[in-house]
Amino acid sequence: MEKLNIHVDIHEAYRYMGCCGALDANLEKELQNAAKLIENSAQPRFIEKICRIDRSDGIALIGTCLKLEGKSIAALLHDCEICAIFCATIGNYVEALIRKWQLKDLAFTAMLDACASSAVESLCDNIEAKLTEEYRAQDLFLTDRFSPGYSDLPIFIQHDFCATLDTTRKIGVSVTESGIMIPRKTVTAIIGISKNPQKHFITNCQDCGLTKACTFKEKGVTCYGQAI
Amino acid sequence: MDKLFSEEFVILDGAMGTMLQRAGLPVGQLPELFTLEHPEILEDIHRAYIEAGSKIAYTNTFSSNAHKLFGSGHTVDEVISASVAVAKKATDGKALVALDIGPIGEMLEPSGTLAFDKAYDMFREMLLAGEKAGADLVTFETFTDLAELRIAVLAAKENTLLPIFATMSFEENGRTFTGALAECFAETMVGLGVDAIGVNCSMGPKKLMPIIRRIGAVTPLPLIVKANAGLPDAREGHYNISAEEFAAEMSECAEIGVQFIGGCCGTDPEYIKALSNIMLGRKRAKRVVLSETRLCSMTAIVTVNEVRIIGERINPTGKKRFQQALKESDFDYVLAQGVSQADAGADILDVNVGVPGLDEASLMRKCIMGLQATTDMPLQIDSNDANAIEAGLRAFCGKAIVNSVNGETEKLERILPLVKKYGAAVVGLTMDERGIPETAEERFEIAKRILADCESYGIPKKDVFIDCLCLTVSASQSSALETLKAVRMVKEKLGLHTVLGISNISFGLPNRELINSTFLSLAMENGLDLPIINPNVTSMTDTVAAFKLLKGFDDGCQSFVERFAEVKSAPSSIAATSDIFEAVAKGLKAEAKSITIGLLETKTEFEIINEFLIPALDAVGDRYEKGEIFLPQLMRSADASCEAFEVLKTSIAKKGTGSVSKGKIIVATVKGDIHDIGKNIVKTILANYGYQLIDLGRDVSPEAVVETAVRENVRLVGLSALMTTTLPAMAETVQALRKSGHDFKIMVGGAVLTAEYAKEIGADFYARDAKRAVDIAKEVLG
Repeated sequence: MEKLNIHVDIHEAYRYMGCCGALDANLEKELQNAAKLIENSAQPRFIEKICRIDRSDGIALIGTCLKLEGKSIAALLHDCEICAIFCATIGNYVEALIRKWQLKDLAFTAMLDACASSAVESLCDNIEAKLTEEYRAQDLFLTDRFSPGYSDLPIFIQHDFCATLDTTRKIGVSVTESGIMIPRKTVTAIIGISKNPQKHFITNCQDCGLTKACTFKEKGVTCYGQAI
Repeated sequence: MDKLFSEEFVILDGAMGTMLQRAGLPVGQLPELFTLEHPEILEDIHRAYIEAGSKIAYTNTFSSNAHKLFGSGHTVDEVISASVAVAKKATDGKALVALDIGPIGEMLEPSGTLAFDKAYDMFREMLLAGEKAGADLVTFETFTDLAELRIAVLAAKENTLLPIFATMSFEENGRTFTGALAECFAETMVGLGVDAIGVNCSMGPKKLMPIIRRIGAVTPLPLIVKANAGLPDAREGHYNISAEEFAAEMSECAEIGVQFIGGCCGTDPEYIKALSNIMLGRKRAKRVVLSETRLCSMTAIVTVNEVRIIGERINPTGKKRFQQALKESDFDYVLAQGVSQADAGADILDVNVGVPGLDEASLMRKCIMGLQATTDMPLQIDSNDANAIEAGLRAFCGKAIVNSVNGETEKLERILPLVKKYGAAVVGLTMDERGIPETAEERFEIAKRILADCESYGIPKKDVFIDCLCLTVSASQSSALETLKAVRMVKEKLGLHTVLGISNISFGLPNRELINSTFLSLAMENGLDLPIINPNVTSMTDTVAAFKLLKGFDDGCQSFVERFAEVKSAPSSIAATSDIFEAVAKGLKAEAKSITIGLLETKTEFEIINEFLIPALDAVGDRYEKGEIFLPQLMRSADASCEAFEVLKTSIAKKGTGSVSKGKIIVATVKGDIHDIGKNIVKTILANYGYQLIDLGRDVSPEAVVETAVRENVRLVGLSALMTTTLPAMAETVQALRKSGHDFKIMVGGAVLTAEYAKEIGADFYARDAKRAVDIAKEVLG
């Protein structure tokens, strides 16, 4: 199976911990240590599938049991005949590492957790970049990446999503009764593939379900590090 | 069945899923439901494999468990009966029928939320249905979690008479997705008494061969290989080798001595036909199995071929602080002792949780579950209580040591069947009804008797360890020499491994460390393999390191040199301080600890908490609230304050004057949710304010929260949830707490929560962060 690399962005991890402003030297050193530990114990794996879209009754992926509900996914894929679905994980060892550090040093554990989130994001970025390159060669264009749980795409499709990709057998990802993927640092996503160039989905705070309790917003920044 | 085991090779079948998808099964649908509607397709597939040479047909029941069938409108019994019936009809006596069982499809605790007992019940249900329907054997395959496979095997052993095949899926490094090591799988399965083991799925034959070799080297059991048709591509899952290439690669099984061979994903009757043809007339090589003593956890194997350290610190005997932690269910304290011993170089951890008045079996189970989630080491289950020993053995996934039996017949009869059933090793103490004999010769006689008894229960000699007992030398000068003599006799004349707790020797003497390390050297020289010591005392582990070097166990003196090349303590870049406020603010742990020890000379524990620690933390909390510092700095301060608190708790526990508690608070991550870092942060901060935290962990049912809250008369309950999907469970828990009629306040928090939602579900407070949780606790409990 193809291997893709991961990379931890410590500034991104810093934001994931709810921090903003400059990173002090001590913390930077600790985050670098955490990043190194995560990069060493991550086992990046992914599985993907290219599906044709059937619009006769909502959005269904042909040849699978997967149905994608909600207005936002319909909008994302409105100009696409096919889409890629994938599941990416950095594996179980990271989980064990985090469990162990919880008993030793909780501050460092929070850093490890944030670095692990950054690592799985980088894996998704790499998968997306690879797809972009592949389809650009065929004069096709990709939409943004969209995951179950975003906006009105129900998180409960995680079960069908993972069954369709046979994730348990292929990359060791299973889903709990309440829809949580294990290992925790796992992402499922959909990317539309279109003949026409695709605009970015505008991500603004109004569409976010957490906007009422957002601590970033109070500090005048977004969760992805931009000033409001 | 017996006839099969005498065959040179037994050809198994190939893929089921691949064949069903070719026949129209949509991706993502359960194969079992498809074949309920199309039994003729299933029958044809079985028939094609039998015609291709398969002698065992695996039923189409891989996912027929209650979890996967939930909501399908079909029962487990119905699906399994139907599938076994089709297989029996197709085989028509020409092949055996194996009830095929795969993983449940949900992760077990602690990674996931599936409980041991629930998994056990699901496997039992399938097994009973399969045996009733007439399956000849059961095959567990494609498992990646050894703990889950072990539960499945226990369910089969305890409820059916079916012979058991067990195979797991490994990656190239010889580990499964969850980290289980090939050798640990083998050792654990041998211990439970399965009939054949091996590998299936994940890779093609070529890459599976090194793994089956490794498994074959540590077990005499018949081996199984059911390989994929090469490697799948990440996109469509297509496999990359032909039937002929598959058969050619599989033929290496003959040299390795693998008896049961077949195909997994991507293979079809062509592959099985090619495999049958290529194996015709070949001979299965005789295997060489290493007969060493091995202990293991899921992820690490410890071979007792040199001195191995058993860490002794998980033991409440004579330790007030430890006893208090067990009484308060403060498992983090216990588990932290495990992690620190692992870091200090222990190879095995002794686990003793016996405190009068507490439920030892329950504590043992919880500690073992926690330890195997946070350390990699094999465990030694240390108890006088047979129920606690069994609880520990049942919970531990791997090969444990049971500590202990002795020459008393009653004890041997009670404990040895458990040791055999769970495939553990056992420590026999050289004492009996009459006490500890004085002479080495008498102790040796008891050891001989223990060995004979163990062997009569089928426990192999290599798994019997003898503890010749170390007495206090200040009480009887000759006792040290008798012990050493007994160790040598047991080692040389019986050929058994020996265990010895060392620290007793120096009781009542000055400079105990010197006596201990010197006695340790002598004991190792006389044949001690498994010293039970405190690995956090450097002189003891140094002695073991030096001994290994001098006895030629340290190639090129490498480990020894590395050990002393390490910089033990990195110099701190921040200047030390004598001010507790500064120590807490800057997160200086060592300083916080030493300053607190100093303060205890003039202040009481409560004065220190109220006048120093709480104001220091308040100052940090204010800066956090203002956005001057963030979570990492807040936690660093909490860590430093935690060190100070530990000093105070130990001091109070020693005096026996109660606890420092300003009131009890329950914290829990709600049912279905496994995210607990946020909850743990809140817990740590609250504990630093002097509250007694009852941490119920994660995935906690509403009933458990209510039950504990009422029993412990708790006035503040904190609930956490991170997922939108688990918010309903939080609402349910709040309702259950209200319904109990008990008077308590409820605070809720977690990333997806809002003040509105908190109000909507009837919580009293919304704790947006740890600082707010402290303010709430002050308001409710003072």
